[in-house]
Amino acid sequence: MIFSEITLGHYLALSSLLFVIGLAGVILRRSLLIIMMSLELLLNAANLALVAVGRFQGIPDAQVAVFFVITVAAAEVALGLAILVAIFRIKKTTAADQLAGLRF
Amino acid sequence: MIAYAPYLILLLPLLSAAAIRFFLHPFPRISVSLSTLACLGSFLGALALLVMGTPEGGMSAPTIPWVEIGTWKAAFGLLGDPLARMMAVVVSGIALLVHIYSIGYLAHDPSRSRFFAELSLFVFSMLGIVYADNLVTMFIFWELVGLSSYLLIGFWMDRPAAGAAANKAFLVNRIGDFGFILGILGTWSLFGTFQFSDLSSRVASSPGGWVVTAVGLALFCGCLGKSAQFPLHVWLPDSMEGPTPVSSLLHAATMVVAGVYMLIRVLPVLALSQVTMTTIAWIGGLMTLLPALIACQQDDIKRILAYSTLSEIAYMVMAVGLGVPGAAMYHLTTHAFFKCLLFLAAGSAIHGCHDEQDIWKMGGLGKRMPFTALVTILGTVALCGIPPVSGFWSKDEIFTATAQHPGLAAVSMAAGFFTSFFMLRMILVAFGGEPRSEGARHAHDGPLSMIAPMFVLTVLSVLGGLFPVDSFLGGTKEEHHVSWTLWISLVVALAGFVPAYHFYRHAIREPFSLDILRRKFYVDEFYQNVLVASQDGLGRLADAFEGWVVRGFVVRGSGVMGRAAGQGLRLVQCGQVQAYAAVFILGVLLLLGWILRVGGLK
Repeated sequence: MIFSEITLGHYLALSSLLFVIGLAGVILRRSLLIIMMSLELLLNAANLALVAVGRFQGIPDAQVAVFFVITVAAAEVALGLAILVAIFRIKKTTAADQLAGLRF
Repeated sequence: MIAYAPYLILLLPLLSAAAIRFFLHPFPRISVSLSTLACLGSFLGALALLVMGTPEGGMSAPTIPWVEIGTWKAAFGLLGDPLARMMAVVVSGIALLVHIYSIGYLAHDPSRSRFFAELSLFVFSMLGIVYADNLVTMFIFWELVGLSSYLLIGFWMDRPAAGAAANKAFLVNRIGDFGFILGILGTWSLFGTFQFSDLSSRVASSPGGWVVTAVGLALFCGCLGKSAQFPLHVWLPDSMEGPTPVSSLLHAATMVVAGVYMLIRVLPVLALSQVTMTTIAWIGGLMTLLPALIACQQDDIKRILAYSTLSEIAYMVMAVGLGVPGAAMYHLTTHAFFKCLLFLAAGSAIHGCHDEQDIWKMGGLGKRMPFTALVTILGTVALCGIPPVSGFWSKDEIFTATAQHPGLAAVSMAAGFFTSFFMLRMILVAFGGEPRSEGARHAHDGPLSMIAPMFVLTVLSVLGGLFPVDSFLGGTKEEHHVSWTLWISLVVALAGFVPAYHFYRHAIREPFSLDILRRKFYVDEFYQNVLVASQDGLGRLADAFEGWVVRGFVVRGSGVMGRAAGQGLRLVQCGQVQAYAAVFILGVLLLLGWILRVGGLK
């Protein structure tokens, strides 16, 4: 049976998959809301890799780091959503390609 | 404290110059008196030093520590050997007479305060050269003398010619001084001392060879500039644009012989190399003749005397080159007397004719200015070396030294012939015949302050031969024997009078016109067309380099490059935050790939 045992490789593969999906979302999607969700995906991909490595290699530090990342991510989302609401009130849009004011 | 008294000789004129410049400028009468009194004080001090010291020397004031770098120390000291004491008396004495003369000569000049301040500065610097006990101190005063010469030549600053002449004197002297400072540095590296008193003992351990010759010639270069010898002689005739007392004091009697004085001071170094000594002797020998030839065709009374000065200094230089500094110093002293006298007399004639310097526009001054004419004739007799006046004795010593060198004897005696010729020409044209201009018709002798110094100088010129100059030079004079050179030189000098009398007795205009002599052997033209032109070419080249390469390419080019780079990179800034993110990720991927593949920076 192929799925007889879940190894570290499986976790890391899943983590990479999540990371690539997140990356594609950040670069390709236009809505700022989706971009922020993709950012969360990126963070969680990293978290997954950290926990898996920590578990398999027996490094508890990695799991502690994950809690920090979750905390920071929560703060980031709060701040990011606040900025997003502010932008929407002024620009009436959340499309990233419409927000190109910082150019010559 | 009393031991430091000799420094007062130096300080008095300096204080006078400073006081006039800073406080007394608006009060000409006080300035004139102060400057003259300061000079009198210096003269009396120098006289006291001369009398108090023994011929063996040793009246030095204590040295003042000046610069200390590690173990190397330079001190500011005064040299009290007989040579310095003698020279100081001559310098300050003549300076005093010229001060008195200037009171009358510049009586109506509104800026005479400035003149006397500059004169005081000159007396200070010249006495500094005389008393300097090491080469560094001498060089400082040497430059100060150059500065006062520049200021005094350009005294009449509203005349463009005076400004040009002052610049010329200053710039030409720079060339000589550059050589001089190289010589000073060379002396230090060879012998490890700047002190004149140490030189003669240190040269015993000289390495010899071409280095010594080079150092000697470099030192001689300083003399070439200051004493106006070929090829740096061109500034002296032009310096006659200054007031006549200045020409008399600086450019005849004292400053221009500083070069000879310096040569005598460094003679131990020069004498190490036969090449150096021969070069000095031959440059001196040739320079006796060339200016004497040029003077035969000059019309400006002061320029005639200036060329005569060049010729006489060359006699001294030649004497140094022949290894007889005593004779050089003797001639220096007598020349100071009679040449100063001739210049003051010329100044008197110029003053009498209302600033007319052309001898062809004078004429008939003998009847109208009898005193001036008389002292001119006596000065001429002394200059031409006719016995028994002073010039005869001093020139005779030099001619005796040339007895072993027929070539030098020939050129210097030929110079004597032409000296007699042009001096009698000057006297006959300026003082004989009838007046040829309105100014000359109303000429008369000057005031007492002009007459008195000329009288004193006449006495000194006539009796200078009795002056025991040699006893102050270490008493090395050998038994005076009559040599064949004496008779020939005398006959040649007298012979020079004959053609002059024949051609110029009734002349009212120049009977000859020799262009090569009128144009001073084209030396000025050569400098103008070759040296100045090549310098101009070099300047234009440097300007083009600066304009095209430095200013165009480097300065403006770097600006243009920066701006172009900015214009190009600006296109990258699209404002799309996702594009930035994509570039960022691409960068991370490249970096990651590089690290995984190569292993990063090992």
